[in-house]
Amino acid sequence: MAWQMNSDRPIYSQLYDKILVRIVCGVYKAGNRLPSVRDLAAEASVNPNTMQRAFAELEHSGLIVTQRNSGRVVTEDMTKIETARHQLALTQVQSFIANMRELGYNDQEIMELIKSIVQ
Amino acid sequence: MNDNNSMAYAQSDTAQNESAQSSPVQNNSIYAQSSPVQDSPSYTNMPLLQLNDLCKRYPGMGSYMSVFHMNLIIPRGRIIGLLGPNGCGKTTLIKMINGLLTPTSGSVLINGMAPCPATKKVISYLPERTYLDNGMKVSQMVSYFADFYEDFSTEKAYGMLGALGISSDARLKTLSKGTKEKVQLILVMSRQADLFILDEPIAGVDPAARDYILRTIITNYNPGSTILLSTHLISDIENILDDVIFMKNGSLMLYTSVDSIRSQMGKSVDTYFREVYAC
Amino acid sequence: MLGKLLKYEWRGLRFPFLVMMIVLASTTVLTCSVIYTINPNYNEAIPWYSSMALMFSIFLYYFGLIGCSIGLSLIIVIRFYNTCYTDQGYLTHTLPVTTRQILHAKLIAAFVADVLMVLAIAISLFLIIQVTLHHILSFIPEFTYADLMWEISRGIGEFEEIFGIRIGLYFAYLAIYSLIGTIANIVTLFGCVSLGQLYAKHRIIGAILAYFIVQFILQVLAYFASLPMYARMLGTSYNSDFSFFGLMSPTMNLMLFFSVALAVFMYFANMHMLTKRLNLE
Repeated sequence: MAWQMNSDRPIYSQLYDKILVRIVCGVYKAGNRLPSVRDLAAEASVNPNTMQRAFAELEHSGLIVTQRNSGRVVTEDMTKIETARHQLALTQVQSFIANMRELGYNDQEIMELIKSIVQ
Repeated sequence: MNDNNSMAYAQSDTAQNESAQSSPVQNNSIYAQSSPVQDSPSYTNMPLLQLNDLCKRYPGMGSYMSVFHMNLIIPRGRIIGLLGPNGCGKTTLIKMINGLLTPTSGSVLINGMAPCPATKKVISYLPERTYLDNGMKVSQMVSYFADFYEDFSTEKAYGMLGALGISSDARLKTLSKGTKEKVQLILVMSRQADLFILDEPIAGVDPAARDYILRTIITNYNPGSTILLSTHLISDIENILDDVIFMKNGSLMLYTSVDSIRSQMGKSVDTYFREVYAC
Repeated sequence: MLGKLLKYEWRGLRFPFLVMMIVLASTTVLTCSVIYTINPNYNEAIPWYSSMALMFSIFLYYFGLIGCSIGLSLIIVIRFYNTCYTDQGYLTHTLPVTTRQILHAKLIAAFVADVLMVLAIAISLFLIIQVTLHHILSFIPEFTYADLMWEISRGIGEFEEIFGIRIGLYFAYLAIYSLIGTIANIVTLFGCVSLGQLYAKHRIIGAILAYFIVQFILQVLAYFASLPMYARMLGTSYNSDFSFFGLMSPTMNLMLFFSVALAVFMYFANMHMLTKRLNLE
């Protein structure tokens, strides 16, 4: 997964989203250690302070936990990860529906289109 | 001549107002908890770099001020972009911080001291010029730096030279301009200084080396030190910056964090820069 | 830190200095060997080729000497200019050392190189004179080297009578005179380079200009310094009170004073230009 940044949003919040996706997808598994701030910052070519801030936000929302001896680990609280996953899914669907409405589809047409494609 | 001065005053006033709106001090306090500055070893009560009403007028330039009443406090643990169009006084400012120019008035304080051997010890400076002695070999240059700078790491230097495929036996005069710039940057980044001042560090090198250099800056960066980086290639380095300083006609226009530009203006620093300095 | 600076100053001068030593040594050896091939018997004419060879080798030796002494000064000055006022200055002036240490390291290194060069030239001249004397004396069986030495020592005995000063003292005076002169010369050369920086657009031309102005001032001062000598010379035509040294000493002392004054001025000019007025391009 590339670390492509958009220009308009703060970098730390974009980093937040990208790490969140990695946690939800299981790239960083529950209870496992996360890479260090410095390594991840180098990988993403961003400022370590910014990466630090993204981590702090993740910590704030309870998705990662700082342990005294093993550094930062992904939370083992599966419900939290599940909630985050659900939140991401909701955002995706909402933006999808918004875009479809912009194209002039009504809700029923959207549902039918989805059904036909999923089958 | 007087008109020139009063105009510059007016500019500095507006600059002052703009920077007051988004004071960097405020930005620092936002993420003071998450900032890794806490473990900086000493001088914690002294700002790393402080400019007090700094002015520079070159002899033979009439009353034109290349740097005009600049006031600035730069803390530890930041990567800061010094941005501005050509001739806005960036290099003049950098030279004064390094003691290569004497201010016309005002003062530069590094850890509370005016430029002197003690401040040169804690500043690692990369000028836009290639300052290496062409008759020397790369390895001799490395031992030169190791001799004079206590915080220089020879292993680090050879590690980076190896990674960029630069032979340490080569004489500097046989190297291309871009390679010389790389050697120079390696020497500067192999120090464990408090303040790194990099004047146009990536302008002369190819994109691949540019990526390596940016990675080097990130990985070598230690939380107790600050990197002040002057460049006009903003989009390349935007992601590694904490804060930006915009200069115009020798005055400070804006000193704020990258995140606050992005969240308040909704645009990248690069885009914002183009708007601010639109011709 | 001064030690480290000195180390790198010496490294910078080492190679050209070595080249000059080789030039000096080879022209000395060449001249000596040419002298050996000449047969100075009265009854035989010296063949044209050996007189040509002698002329040629003396010519080479002469230019070797001039080249070495001017060349060394030139190299010292160019190195000073390069390391202090060109792009290399960015490194020199951001080293964690004081400007005074930088200047002192350059002065000391240049002084040592100059003294070594003078010693080398003295040794080379001594060698050539010795070779010539021994060679000539080998053709005169009735006059030995020991006889010559005895003649010279008698001459030294009469030295004080003619010169008005003991020979040891005279040479000590000359040694101090030239040591101070050497230091003054280096400081002045550096000072001219530094003062050339004032002419911001053409700094090298400025340095050369400064050098000529300093030389002109020195000429004027030398003229004034020679006035007491002329006065005493006029005096001696009435009563021969003054010895040779008595005639010369006021002028030499005055010149010494002027060069010390110039050196002090130039020292502060250097310091001023390297600190307050430093403005690298």
